[in-house]
Parts: sequence; C-alpha cells; structure tokens
Amino acid sequence: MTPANDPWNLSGVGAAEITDLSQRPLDWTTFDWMHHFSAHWHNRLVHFPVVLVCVMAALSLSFWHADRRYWPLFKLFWGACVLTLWLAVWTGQRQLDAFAEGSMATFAQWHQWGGFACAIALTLGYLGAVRWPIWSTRAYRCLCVCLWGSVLALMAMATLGGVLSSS
Amino acid sequence: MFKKIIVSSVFCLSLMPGAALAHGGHAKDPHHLHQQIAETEVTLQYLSAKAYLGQLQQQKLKVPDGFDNKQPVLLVLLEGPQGQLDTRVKLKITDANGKTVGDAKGITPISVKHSRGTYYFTQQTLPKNKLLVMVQFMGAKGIQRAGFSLVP
Repeated sequence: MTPANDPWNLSGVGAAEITDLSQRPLDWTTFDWMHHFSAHWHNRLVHFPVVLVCVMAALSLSFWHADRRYWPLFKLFWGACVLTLWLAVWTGQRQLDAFAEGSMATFAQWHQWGGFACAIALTLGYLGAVRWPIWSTRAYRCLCVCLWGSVLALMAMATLGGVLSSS
Repeated sequence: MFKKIIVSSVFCLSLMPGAALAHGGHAKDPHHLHQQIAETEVTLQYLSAKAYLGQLQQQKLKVPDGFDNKQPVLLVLLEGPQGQLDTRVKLKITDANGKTVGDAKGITPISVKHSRGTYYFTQQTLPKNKLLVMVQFMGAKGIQRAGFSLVP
C-alpha cells in the first residue's frame, strides 16, 4: 500500500488540516443528547437543596420573631429541599461505581454517609415542622440555628463532592 | 418587606435550574481538552511525568512499561456509549508552522489496559510554543479524526 493510500500514514497531514479539525463546529446531528442529558444528574440536582437551605436560612435572618405569614413559604421551600435532597441521594448512589476502586473510595463513602445524614436530618425537621408548626419565638430561633447548621453541613458535603468530581 | 422577600426568593429560585443544569461535571483546564466526534468523546491531556505518576497512584494503576520519568506525557482517552474504546490510535503533532514533532508518519501511542478500559499515552519532548495535535482512531463509523490546539 502506498503512503497516499494508507489512511494510517499521516505524513500528508499538515497544520492547516489539524487547525480545521480543532475548529470544527460540533456536529449536532450526531451529538449524543441522551448520553449527555442522562449523565451526572447528582451533580445537577444537588444544587437545589443547597440553594433552598441557603434561601431559607437567609430568610430566617430577615426577621427574628416567629411570623405566621412566612410559614407556608418555609414549608414549601423545606418540602422542595427534602424532595430534591432525596433525589440527589438516589442519583448519587448511581454515580458511586466510578469511585468504587481507587484512592477516592473512602472519600466517596464519607460523602455518601454525610449526604444520608443531611437528608435524614432535614426530613425529620420537615416532618416535625409540618406536624408542630412553630409559633413561639424561642422555638423559631432554634429553627434558625438548625437551618444555619444545615447550611454548614451541606457546604461540607458540597466540598467533598467538589473534590470527588474533579478527581 | 414581605413582598420584597417573596420576590427576591422567587428570583433566586428562578436562577437555580439554569445554573444547576449547566453544571455537568467536567472541569475546564487548558491541558485537559475534549472533543466530541460522532459518538466518541476524545480527551487529550498533557501533563508532566510527576503529575502522571501522581494520577496513576491516585487511581491505583500500574506504571506502564517503558515509562521515562523525565519526559512529559500526552494522554488520549476515547469514550464511547459503551465505555472506553480499545482501538487503533495514531497521533500527528505539528507546530503552528507545520513543522512535525516526532515521527512524520504519525506517532503510535502505547495502549495501556486497566480495569476500567484502555487509555493511550506517548512521551514526547514538546517545544514550548503552540502545537497542533491530531488524534486518528477507529470509531463506530470507521476512521475518525479529532484536532486540538495545545500550548505546552
């Protein structure tokens, strides 16, 4: 086979051809949309509970007395937070295989159990808040402290997750 | 006050889906380049021998035979829908003026098999100016090529 006919002989490939390849626009017709859509859902969903808890904690600082007008909003945010947190836990379990081997396995387990603990704590808090609406200022202040504790716990989990995703 | 809080909360929440969905996972850095060719994602990574050894240690992988710990490493990873591709691969490296680096007919990287698939590596002393790297591989639709612009 002559060099010109051998596709694995790259002596004829020049800088211009490689530049064209490097600047080639994405071929949308062959782009694997389903693969990119279905991959890494944990990385996307996990932002929802983090932001919802941050919004609730920030709201709790806006007023320092129990105010029944805010309660439906809190319940809505908290419910959405719990729902998305469990979805994040479920999708996170499906991504654990990537870390089953290697030095990040222990790290991934801390992230897994920490995430579980956060989900259970926030779910219990939500169920308690729905069952016993808080009207006293003292109980409300406890709720605010718990919310800020949740922010710190979720930030710690997010830090572990960030290290895992870039490993 | 109450209305302001509601409006700002709704605003924050409205930003969330876009911000969250945009974040898929891959971190961007200039020495870790990706290109999607048909169904295959081609990743080219240029790193020092020390960084490569650290990466192998982190992933509990063996150091490939013939590894020279003085030369930087060019890694190629091909990922298709079924996982990492194990196929024929050839590289062509030129500088911006078209001067070839390494073998003019193309460089055949060493294929390294491990528990999660196969990756390809070659060691070349690359000049410090802008380089063009072509990766030719056998994909699902025959011979396919990806091009990258790299500054070592």
